[in-house]
Amino acid sequence: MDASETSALVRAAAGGDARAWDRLVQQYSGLVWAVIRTYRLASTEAFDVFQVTWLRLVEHLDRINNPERVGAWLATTARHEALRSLLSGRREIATDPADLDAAQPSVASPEMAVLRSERSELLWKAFGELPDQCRTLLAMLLASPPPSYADVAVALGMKIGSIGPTRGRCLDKLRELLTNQDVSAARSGAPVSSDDRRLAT
Amino acid sequence: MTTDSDPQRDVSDETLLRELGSVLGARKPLPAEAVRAAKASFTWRTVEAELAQLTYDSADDRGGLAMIRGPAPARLLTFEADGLTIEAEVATVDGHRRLVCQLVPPQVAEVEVQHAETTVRTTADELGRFVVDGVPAGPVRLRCILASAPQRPVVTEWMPI
Repeated sequence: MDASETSALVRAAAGGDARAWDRLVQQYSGLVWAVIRTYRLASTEAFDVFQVTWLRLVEHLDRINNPERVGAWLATTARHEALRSLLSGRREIATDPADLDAAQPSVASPEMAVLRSERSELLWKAFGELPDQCRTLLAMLLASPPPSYADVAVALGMKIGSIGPTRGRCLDKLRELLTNQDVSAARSGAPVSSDDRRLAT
Repeated sequence: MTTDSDPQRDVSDETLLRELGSVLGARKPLPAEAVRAAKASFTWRTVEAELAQLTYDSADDRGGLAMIRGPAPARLLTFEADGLTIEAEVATVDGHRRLVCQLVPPQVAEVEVQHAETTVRTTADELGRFVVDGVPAGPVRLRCILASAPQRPVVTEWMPI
């Protein structure tokens, strides 16, 4: 969706056009959700943050300064509301594995399942240790449909030209965290061999 | 899984990003219900009302303290519109929210607490006070029809409470 189409939709929705609104929701829900799910919120909080982000857009439709950048506006609002939700501490931050690990992808063989879930567990943990800006950037880039670089730049207060290099640095950092995790998993988490056991006792 | 080598190092940015995408997507897929709710939120569009914006949220002050668990103190919210301030104290009672509110300057008003699932109506007394019990968790907003200016209601921003 190009910039003029986007601002036309925002203007139409501000004028009461529900179909235009539905298209905005369709276009940007993936982006809003991608931002929210980078925060460790329980499912109900994540749902509330998603909903309040859209409610805020409803109430600000005719006040948006740059309607063509509504994607950036939504991503910024979602991020802000997710942080507020964490800080308000109205409920515990998600520690229930069911909340964090909903719906694992189904895989063919049990061996594959173990490998994939181990790997995805490591990746998930490493991702959680990235700096806030890296998490949000990567999450935004992975949103479906993907946002424009211009929206990403505005939402994160970056120059468009620095998105590529920052993305590279964030992925390097992720790779580094994964490597460290693998090493520490080998030291402590992995099944102890008989040799190790003898040494330990 | 072998841990002697570091296969991740060889993984290209594109592959790693794709892999991360599938992990994130699988962990928390976008609920269809959330999209339906977002579409439905358009019905809350108000054109004739004055928007009271959030100017204070005690949650913003707690910062690192949010990690300290104990009896949660009541949350304080302040909304401001032209000529009207709405102060709200939000407490949790049996899983529901209790709102203790004060209009400044004090005045009589018809008040609605709007929530996606329910709307509770009440009245602010001549001292501008009202209390609403049993509000479900989730985004809410207050809509006040002031006795002095009934033609232009004041509506707060939405807040998840």
